[in-house]
Amino acid sequence: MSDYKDLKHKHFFDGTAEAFMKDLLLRSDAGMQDGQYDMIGGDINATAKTMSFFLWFYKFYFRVEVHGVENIPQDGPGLIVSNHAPIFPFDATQIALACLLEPEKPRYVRTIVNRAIADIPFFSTLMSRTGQVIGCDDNVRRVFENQNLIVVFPTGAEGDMNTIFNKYQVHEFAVGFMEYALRFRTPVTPTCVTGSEEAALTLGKINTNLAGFKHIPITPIFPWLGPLGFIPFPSKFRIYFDPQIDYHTEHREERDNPEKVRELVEGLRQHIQHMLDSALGRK
Amino acid sequence: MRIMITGASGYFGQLLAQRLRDDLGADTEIIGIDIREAEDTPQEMRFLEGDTRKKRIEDIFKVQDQIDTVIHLARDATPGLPSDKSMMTNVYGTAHMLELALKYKVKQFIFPSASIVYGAHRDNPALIHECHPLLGNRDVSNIRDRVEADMICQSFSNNTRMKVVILRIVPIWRAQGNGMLQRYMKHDLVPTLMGYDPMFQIIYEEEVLEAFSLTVRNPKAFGAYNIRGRVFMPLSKVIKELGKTPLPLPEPLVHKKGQFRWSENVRFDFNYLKYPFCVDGDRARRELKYRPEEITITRV
Repeated sequence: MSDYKDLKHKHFFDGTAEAFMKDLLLRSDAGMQDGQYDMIGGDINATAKTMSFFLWFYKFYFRVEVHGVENIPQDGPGLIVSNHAPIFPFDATQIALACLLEPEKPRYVRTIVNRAIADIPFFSTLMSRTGQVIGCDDNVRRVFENQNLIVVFPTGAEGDMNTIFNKYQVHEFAVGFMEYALRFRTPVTPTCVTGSEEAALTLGKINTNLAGFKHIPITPIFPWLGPLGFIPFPSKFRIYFDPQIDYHTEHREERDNPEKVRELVEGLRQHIQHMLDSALGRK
Repeated sequence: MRIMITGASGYFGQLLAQRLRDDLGADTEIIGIDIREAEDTPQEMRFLEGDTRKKRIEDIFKVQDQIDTVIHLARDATPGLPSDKSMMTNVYGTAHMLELALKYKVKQFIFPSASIVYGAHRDNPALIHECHPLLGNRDVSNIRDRVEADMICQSFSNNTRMKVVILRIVPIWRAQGNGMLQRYMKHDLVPTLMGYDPMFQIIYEEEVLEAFSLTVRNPKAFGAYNIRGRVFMPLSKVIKELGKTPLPLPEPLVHKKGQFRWSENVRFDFNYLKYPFCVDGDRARRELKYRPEEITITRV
């Protein structure tokens, strides 16, 4: 099978999709090999299995539409910065799949995950086996040395709690990613995802400090249905990639100036908000 | 060349003496020090009785000619030992030996530390560098002693007269003996924490011996080196690799307040089975030319 568009429902049960995904990962820049674990603990079989699970969502459930495929960096390290919808990071998996499936040369995207994930049983293992990293300098440097892309959601745990009443508001960004971009001379690709907020359909939130998470969302089905409440609603996802911005060529010398870094980050936040607004047809 | 090994009657001290004699030849004298002589002290080693905690041990330095290298293996990890007693040997004994080695112009002081000194934390980097802070759990006396001793060695490592080398070795799988890993994996079924399967590193004896041998032969080595073996895989795979079966259980069934339920006298920080504490062995590879994948393993 050469294209994911040829996959049928049955292929997700008979292993065809998994084999397709494994082949794609081997062709990509993931650097994972059969029978070996990469430095983060990524295993190609576990990754192929997980990604093929989300591929079903990509193709049949969210019916993802990608705009600006040519803007996905073709090689070298890079940061993909995007808006983020609450609860389960379906937007991250769909961006990762878009970068694997759509460009001619498949790119493997690693995500920076919340530290609190490491405390959640099964999820911590899943994150490690699929090669996702906890955000610390050393891990980021390694991923960039490995010439991989990283997707970051700088709104973080603080800002990712939009409800359907204020959806697609990009909250204040954390600045850490910009420091990495300047320090490691990596381009930044502004990205936005629409449809993800409707998939989560958050009605409200409770402030808490449970297991390292600052908020717990309330949706029509969560927490009422327990773990089943994580199931997203089938909204249509659209992912937009904008041309990359090379902050490091002009502003590298300003990486130790917190005010300037914050200014750059704020500019990027407005850029992504603007992308979202025009994608949604808002003013 | 004259090498002094403290804790020489221990299982590892004896293996190391044989290995160093094989690698360095007959003109190297190996002096073994311990509080009591083992029944089968190898012939390669000249045994002297001494206690690293006591002042009298200085006499050995006084009567010997120049000692070039001290390998400080003496450590008390007896299960259930009161923590103040173990601290005397593990921490004070190390500080005492460092002072004596400096006073008697020893050129190289090698201290085997362990990768557990970095501690298992959820925000550990995927592979830990030598410069990472030592955040091992101070509530467990065994780990606390290692952290303290490691820090004392670090405070001596800026010294220009004596090269202090700290080898931070990942958990050792020994053919015999009673190490922490052996006690944890005593039975064929090895309980793990359900839902957690962190990346794990173990090292075989031959790999550790090779690291020591390379360090002794490298007079330029100084400071901390992470020593890892070839094994780098999830904990459940490590257990299978050692011919046992992992049994994921909910945490309360595995331990009660750090006291392992499945084997006596194992007090431990169970975060080590939850979060990764894998080390980056690049510095040892670069500077010591230590390449674990090229070593043949015979005893498993």
